[in-house]
This record gives sequence, C-alpha cells and structure tokens, in this order.
Amino acid sequence: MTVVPHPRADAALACLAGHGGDRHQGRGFSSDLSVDEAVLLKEIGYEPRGLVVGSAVYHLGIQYSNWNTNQEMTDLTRAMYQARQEALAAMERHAEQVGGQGVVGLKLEVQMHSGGHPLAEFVAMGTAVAQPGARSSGVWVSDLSGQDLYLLIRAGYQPIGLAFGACVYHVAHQGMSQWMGQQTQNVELSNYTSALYEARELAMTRMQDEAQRVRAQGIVAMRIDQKSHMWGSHVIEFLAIGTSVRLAAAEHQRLEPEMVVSLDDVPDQGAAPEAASGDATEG
Amino acid sequence: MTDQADAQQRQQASIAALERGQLPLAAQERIEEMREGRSAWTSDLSVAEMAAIGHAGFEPVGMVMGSSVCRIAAQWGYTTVYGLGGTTGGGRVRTYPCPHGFYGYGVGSEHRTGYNWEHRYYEAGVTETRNLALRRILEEAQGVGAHGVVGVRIIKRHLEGVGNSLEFTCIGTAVRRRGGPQLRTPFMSHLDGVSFSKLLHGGYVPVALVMGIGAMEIDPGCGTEWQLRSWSNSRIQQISDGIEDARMLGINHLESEVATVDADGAVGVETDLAAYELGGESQLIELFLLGTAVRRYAKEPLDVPPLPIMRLR
Repeated sequence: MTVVPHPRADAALACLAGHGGDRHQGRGFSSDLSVDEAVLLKEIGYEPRGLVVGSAVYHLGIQYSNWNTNQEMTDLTRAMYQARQEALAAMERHAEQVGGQGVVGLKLEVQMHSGGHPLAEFVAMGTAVAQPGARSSGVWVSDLSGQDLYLLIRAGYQPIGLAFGACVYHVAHQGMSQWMGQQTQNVELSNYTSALYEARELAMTRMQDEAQRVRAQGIVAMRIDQKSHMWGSHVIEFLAIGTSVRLAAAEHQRLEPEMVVSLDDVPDQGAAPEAASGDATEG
Repeated sequence: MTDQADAQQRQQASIAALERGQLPLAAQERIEEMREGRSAWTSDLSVAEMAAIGHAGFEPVGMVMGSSVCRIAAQWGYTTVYGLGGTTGGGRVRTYPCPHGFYGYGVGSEHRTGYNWEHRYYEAGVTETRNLALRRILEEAQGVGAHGVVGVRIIKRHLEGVGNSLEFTCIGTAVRRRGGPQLRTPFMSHLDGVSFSKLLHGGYVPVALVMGIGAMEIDPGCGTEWQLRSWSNSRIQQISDGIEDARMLGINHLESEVATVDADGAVGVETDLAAYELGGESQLIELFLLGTAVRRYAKEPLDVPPLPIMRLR
C-alpha cells in the first residue's frame, strides 16, 4: 500500500519526534477555546495566553418590598452589579498577569450554592489572548466566541469591552378586588406590563451608558437575561449585556459571503425557546 | 482443571502482572491480536471522524484503554479546637481570625478561627491514579504501533465517597500514519476525530492529555458564619477566597503539566467544579480541569482561508 504524501501530517509528526516546529514564545497557556476558535484566532494573529477566572461569592439577603407596588430593589441591583464587577476585575487582573491584551469567550455566570444559605457565586471566566508585537493599553473583555471575533475583526471592527447593566425589580401583586373583578374577562395586566417594561429599560439604559463612557460606536450580540434566581416569581433581575465595538478600519469591510443551499436536511439552528424553565433569554 | 479454578488462576496472574507494572492478561491478549492484524480494527469513531482523520493523513488502528482504581490517602487537617492549626502535606493555607478579637475558643463556641487549606494529599492521589491509567493506555497504544490516540473519554468517579477510592479510566481510538517516524510517546487528545483534523490543518499538533486539580477545604470561622446568618447583601471573603484559590491551583497545575510535556498550551479545557460536604460547616471545593496540550508546528495560515458562507437552507 502506497503512502499518500501529506506535508502537514508529516510536519506535525516531525515536530512531535522533536525536530523543530514554529513554536509559541513564552509560557505554556491553558484555554477553553474550542479547536475551531483556536484555529480562527490564529488566522487573525491572536495567540491564547491562558484561561483566566475571577469570582466573588455574595450572601444575598432579602430586601423588604411593598406587596402591591412596582419598584426597583435598589439594594439587590447594587449587589448584583457590584458582585459581577468584582468578578470581572479579578479576571482582568489575572489576564494582565498572563500577558493578555483581551479576553474572548467570556462566560459571566451566577451559580447558586445551596446548603441553607442564600449564597451566590459570580464567576467570570474566559481565555486571555494577545497579538504578539502589538501595543495595547488595558485589557478588553468580550463575550463573543472566537468565530464571532474573527468575523468582527475581518469586518473592520475592534472590540472595546463588555457593557452591561442590571436591574432587580419587584412586580406588584394584585389587590383582591382587582383580581375578583377580572376573573371573567381577558384583560391586559397593565401594571405587570409596565413593570417589565420599566425594568428592562433601566437595565438597557445602564448598559448603553457604560458603552458611551468608553466611546463605543455600538454594542453587538446584546441580550437580555431575565431571571428570578432565588427570590420567587415577583422579583426579577434583568441583565442587559453585550460587547461594545468601534470601527478600526476606515469603513465597514464587506465579507462577500458565498451563498449556499444545502441539499441535506439542515437541523433548525434558530434559537429554541427556553420558556419551559420560567427563565427566558431574549435576543 | 475446572473452569472456575482456571478463571481464578487467570485473575491471580492478572493481579500479579498489574503489580509488576504490566497490563492485565485480557488487555495483553487484545493488544497482541490487534498487532498481528488477526482481528478487524475497532473504533468508536463516527463516519465523519473517520473521513476527517483520513483527510489529515492518519488511519485508525483500534480502541485502546487504561484504567486504575486507587485509594486516596487521608489528610489530617487544621484543628480549630485551640485556634491553632497544623496540617500534613503543606500547601496553601489562609487564616480568618475572629473579627471580635477573641482568640482560641473551641468547637461549639461562638468564636473561632476559620481556615482555608489545600488538600495536597488528595490532589496527589488523583494525579497518581490518573498517571497509572495514562501509562496503561499509552502502553496499549505503543503495543499496537500507533502514533497517537484521539477522542479519549475520561471516567473519573469516587467509588466509596470522596476521599476514599477513586476510579480513573480513559478510552480512545489509536491512530497511525503509515510510514511516519516512531514516537517515543504517542500523542493523546480528548478532542474528537474531526477536531483533530482541524487542529492539524490549523498548524497545531496534539501532544498529551493534561489535567489540573485544585482542592481546598473551607472551614468557616465565626466571622464567616455570622455573615451567612445576616440579612444584608455582602461579599463572603472566606468562601470567595476558597473557590478562587481552588481555581487558581487547578489552572497552575494544568499549566505546569503543559510545560512538563513541552507543549505550547492546552486547548478545549473542560472545567468541573464540585463541592463536597465534609461534616459540620466544612466543605471541600474541587476544581478539575482536563485539556489537550498542543504544540504549534507551523505558523503559516491555513492552506485555504475559511470561506464565508450564507446559508439559504
């Protein structure tokens, strides 16, 4: 059986056998990048520098709220925002230590630890990356994947940082007479609607303020998470989060994608509704 | 000789072989059969993975595995009885004195010092179990003349509760390149066959499976416990520190393994954070990381840059 020549496979095995290879400079890194992301980041000149994390564990007490008023729970909003800021700051310090210029694929999560106490761990985790030889001031953070970052940079933009805003809101319970009066009709619960509107607007405005502060032109891949965490159904946190970007090239670069039609059955890639769990993500 | 006696003798021989540092009999025979090409090759690769591995210039040889069950040594920890600590095994320790200035009150008292301390023996035990399993899968891979193992799955489980015995098993498909140079140690990767092919075309080659573990016990002091009972929103310093230290230890251990195998870095790292109750208010935080260490063999970009497409379904 003849061996088909394969320069890449042979070069790879030669490198393993100990002869040469175009190796990275500096310390060994860890990364939670997928292979696709690692390969695409290499195409735009980024090298991974290491997995970076920051965490903050908060004890979330309860705030007294009026049973029948719509209002923001300012103490909880402050705690939820501050805890994320602390986790992010710790992660950025870690990224600077390993020589990163940016962090991609950020996962900013809240994990509830049980055991009788309302303990929440806020974790920020991502992979620090750097362009060898490039100058940078500070570390940018983005929750975009390696694929998205590749497209963004090819389109002529640069990520500036994460923008997010939080709002914890108490939605009023209905009074008894109101409830009785509506039993036989289909009506809009306008206090509910307006409460959700207001909370969402507050979170989004705060996010936009953050983006403006760093002079971003826009926010991409923004989403609004809506969760009740541990507070029951009438207290909801809205978290608006996205990556702020600015045009680095003179103008938007066209990618000229090739149009393809697959003859296979393409699995539905649209976002599946997550309404079943009671927590929803809006795109 | 009866079948039963026969089976018993085989088992004795297998245990003796393991103690000599060799593979059990069944594994030895399987390797022998595969090497001689008497049996069809086995693999758990999907059709797509098979094609991708072929595209990268490799072919499957057979399924290989390595497994080990070890007892994890106990570690005597910090005592809080007199507020004075001492631990065997060294490692990271942080102290959280009583914020009200009391010193040295015992268990059950309102005031005591909190400790976060690293379970060095536990970390070493998990690492040792993993080393044995890895050595066995590598031995099998070498036995069948493979260049490497792809799609390695890891089974890691505590058999009798945390801190007792631990099973570590890895299973994957051995691959080889016909006419390729012999490697002193075959490469290993937990990435599937398609990812292996993409990695190779992207200029990276897998080297080894690397792991990082960080285990911290959090033994809360009175300051922490009072905070937990309060009604206010506040940061719990001791628990934040404990979890962050476990993560940092895990990442540092992983990166030092990357350096040990002379790789450039690790990709596809999976992290798993577990908390085990240890009685009282203490808990053990364990961070387990697993990744594939890679070397960059070529800096030049892909042969063909990726084509942007727009799917019309």
